[in-house]
Amino acid sequence: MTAADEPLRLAQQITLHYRFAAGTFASTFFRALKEEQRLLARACPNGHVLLPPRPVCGLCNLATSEWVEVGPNASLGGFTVVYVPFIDPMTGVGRPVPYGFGLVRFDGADTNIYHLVDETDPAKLRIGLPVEPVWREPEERIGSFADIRWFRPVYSA
Amino acid sequence: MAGGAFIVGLGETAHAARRDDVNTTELAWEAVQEALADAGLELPDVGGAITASQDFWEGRTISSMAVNEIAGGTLKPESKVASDGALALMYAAARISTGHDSLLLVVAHCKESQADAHVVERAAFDVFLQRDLDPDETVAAALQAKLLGYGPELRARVVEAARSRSPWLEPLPDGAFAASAETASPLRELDRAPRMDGACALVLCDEETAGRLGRPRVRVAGCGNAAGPFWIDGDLTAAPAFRTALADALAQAGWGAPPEQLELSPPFAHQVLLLGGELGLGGPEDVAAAVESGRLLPTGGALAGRPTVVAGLSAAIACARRLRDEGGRARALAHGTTGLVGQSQHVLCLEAA
Amino acid sequence: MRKTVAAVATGQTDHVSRRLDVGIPELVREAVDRCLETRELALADVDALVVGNMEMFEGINLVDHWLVDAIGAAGKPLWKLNNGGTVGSSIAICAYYLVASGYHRRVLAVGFEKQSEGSTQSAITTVGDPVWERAVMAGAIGNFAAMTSVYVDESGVTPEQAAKVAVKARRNAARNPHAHLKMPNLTVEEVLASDMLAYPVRKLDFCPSSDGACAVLFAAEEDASLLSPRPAWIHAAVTAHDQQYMGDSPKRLAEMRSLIEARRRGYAQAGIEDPVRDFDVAEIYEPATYAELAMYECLGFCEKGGGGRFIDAGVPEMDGALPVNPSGGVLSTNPVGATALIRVAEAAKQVMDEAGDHQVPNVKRALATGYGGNAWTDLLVLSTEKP
Repeated sequence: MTAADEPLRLAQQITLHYRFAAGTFASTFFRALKEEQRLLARACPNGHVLLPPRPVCGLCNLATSEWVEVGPNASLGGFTVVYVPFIDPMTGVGRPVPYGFGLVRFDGADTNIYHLVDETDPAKLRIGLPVEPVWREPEERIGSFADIRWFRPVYSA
Repeated sequence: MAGGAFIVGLGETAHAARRDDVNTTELAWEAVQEALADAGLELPDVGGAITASQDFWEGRTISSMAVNEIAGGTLKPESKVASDGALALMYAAARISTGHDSLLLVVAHCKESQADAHVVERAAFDVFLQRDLDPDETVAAALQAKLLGYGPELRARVVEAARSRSPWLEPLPDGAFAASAETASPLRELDRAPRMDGACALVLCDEETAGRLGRPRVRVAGCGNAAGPFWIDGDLTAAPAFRTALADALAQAGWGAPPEQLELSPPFAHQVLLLGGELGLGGPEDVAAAVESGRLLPTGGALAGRPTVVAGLSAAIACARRLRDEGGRARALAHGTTGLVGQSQHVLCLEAA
Repeated sequence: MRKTVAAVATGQTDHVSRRLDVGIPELVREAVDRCLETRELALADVDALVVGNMEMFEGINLVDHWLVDAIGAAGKPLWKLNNGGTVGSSIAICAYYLVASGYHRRVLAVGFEKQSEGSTQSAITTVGDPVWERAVMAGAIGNFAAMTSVYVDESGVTPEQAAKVAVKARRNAARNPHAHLKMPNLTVEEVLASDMLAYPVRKLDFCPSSDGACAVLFAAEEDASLLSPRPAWIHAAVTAHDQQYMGDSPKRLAEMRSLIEARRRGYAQAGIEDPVRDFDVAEIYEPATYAELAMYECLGFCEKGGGGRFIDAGVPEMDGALPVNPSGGVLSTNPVGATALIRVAEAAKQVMDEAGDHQVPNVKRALATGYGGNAWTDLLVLSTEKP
């Protein structure tokens, strides 16, 4: 194929800026997280405890009705170790591999959140493994789930 | 149309330039709660939902994930159209008419304040031939306005009359239109609907459910949806898509002519003048007079503060509100649009039932 | 009051990692032409279009409106959905409803993705809620692998059993001219030796990223019988979604709530009691090998926890009692906007006896599923007989 036959390609970059309002539930949650290091979930009248907190419990189709503190201890609801460098949305570059990642359920919550796990040997991870959040330094915290740097397995003595 | 679809509950947020107090989930929930309460229903009564949102505005791929739980979509049928909310209503009506669904929520939401409109709109222009010229919809609409040639006084009359009936925005002070900054000649800032955050929702059901609920109801009598050529490929002074959508909707409804109430929702004033002509209201002067009299844009259309994506469903809600009050077999026409410079046109014929 | 609807024609591009020779409009037009040509139809014969594409992947907003010429949509009703991985089946279901309701006569569902042209990773990152989830995303694979660990823990399925799914898929794909990854001689050992992406999911356990388009034409009753010698009549077209955050259902794979619910409704609608007996073929949306094993269970093909044994027994193989994914499935071909529509197209082809080298003999009833979003499900049942 000669240069004249090479298919033409056009490179373009789009930069999209957004200003997302956190909303009432997130504002309450992250304020409590940042100022008091408390984790607040929302419960529905049937007792489902939901994290992230939200206006409606989808399982019941009922409005959630109260704030319930959960954690800080947690356990792994699922786990993996990632070997492929995906973009870290906070930095725009690939997260260094390997890194642990998983589903984390705070004690008292019925739902899980995804987060990083401080362990890169899958043989040392299991469903139900107790984990604890490792917080960033106070000056690094911005009021986000990333204020938790990752979850560290708590291995029994 | 086989198997009627009936609007039995209406809900809408107070649209505002910025709703920084709520996220998208909460914004849409406000509207859904109101619609459910209006219908005398609870979320567990809902059989599914059709929502409308556009990923570029939402800043989110699969943007319906933000609202599927509050729309009663957990373990239920739920789908999203990436267009104006009028199409969500049409899809829901089609589903109800088959009998597979008996009660659906229809929801539309958009927070124009959270995105960069220029970049979002530019992303819809031709990838190879237009994007690098850095246009947005206002630029394309300005070309249309130039070709149509409606003067600023005429457009100002449309905008002022529309704003005077807005449920959300203050009327414009005298001279405000002329004083507003030029955006892309001949257009001024106030030629275009203001950027808003808002959501709206309605409850749609089959005849049996509507009978059981026993509340005032509005029937979706006819639907029309037509896409035109890509904006630059067509005659911007003509409105073939609107003509087709209007004819299809009227035919389906069995109406010989457009009704009294005409809640069009194009984002630009000159487009109201163009489409008004297509409705048989006469020349531009007559159309402006029709806006002033309140026949056209009875609650102000998009110019009154209805955001993109929300506008068409909100227009249907405004019509339904009035029809429920009027009763009898009162009729109204609601309209929405999707695509640059109104490339797709959606028309709904609604009837008190 | 509803009309009886059938899929009457399908078309696909030959899916590959990069189509450098065509732009998006031409890619989509290829699928549309191939579909219409099978019945000697022209664009003018189509009454309405439903387009599916994840526009943030290629970065083209309102892409369906840009494509009006390519798909012959000017002057016609144009619909666009973008429900994530299920988008292809969502547009099939939307087309079904537009025809069943009598709104339109002949509706063309068109799904496509030109993944090579965009930044898929960036787009996928935006799936996460910006406030709650986006900061710690690990791509589709990280999430998926974490879900898989729960399934493996509960079912005890082995990497070897998962690898058998990969072998089945890629060998089947070798007999499908449209498939992206054709590996007629793939072995379990090769799958187990492939790079680990995210434990326990290896490269050959996971779906590729493809450029491709698919088109399926739907019509009602007399129209359908005129258009296709053997229409694929739709007996069920159901959807079920789930809660809104990605971690809400920890057993998203092990007990996929939406799939179990969709199966309950869809099988009831279509009169399916024993799926292995009642279906002759299934085209299911398996983003990875482990997912397919779990889906055997959630679809009621076998008992809970029995996914591994199901494939060990050879049931889903081409010569088994219920061939699953004769086309090669998602594991072999994955242009996201088209993928779920390809399941519907392939199921329709099986019913219409047009699947060529990967045709299962004597197909009467076929199952098609879509998966995506927050473990959402679409499920369709197609049959040679009218409902």
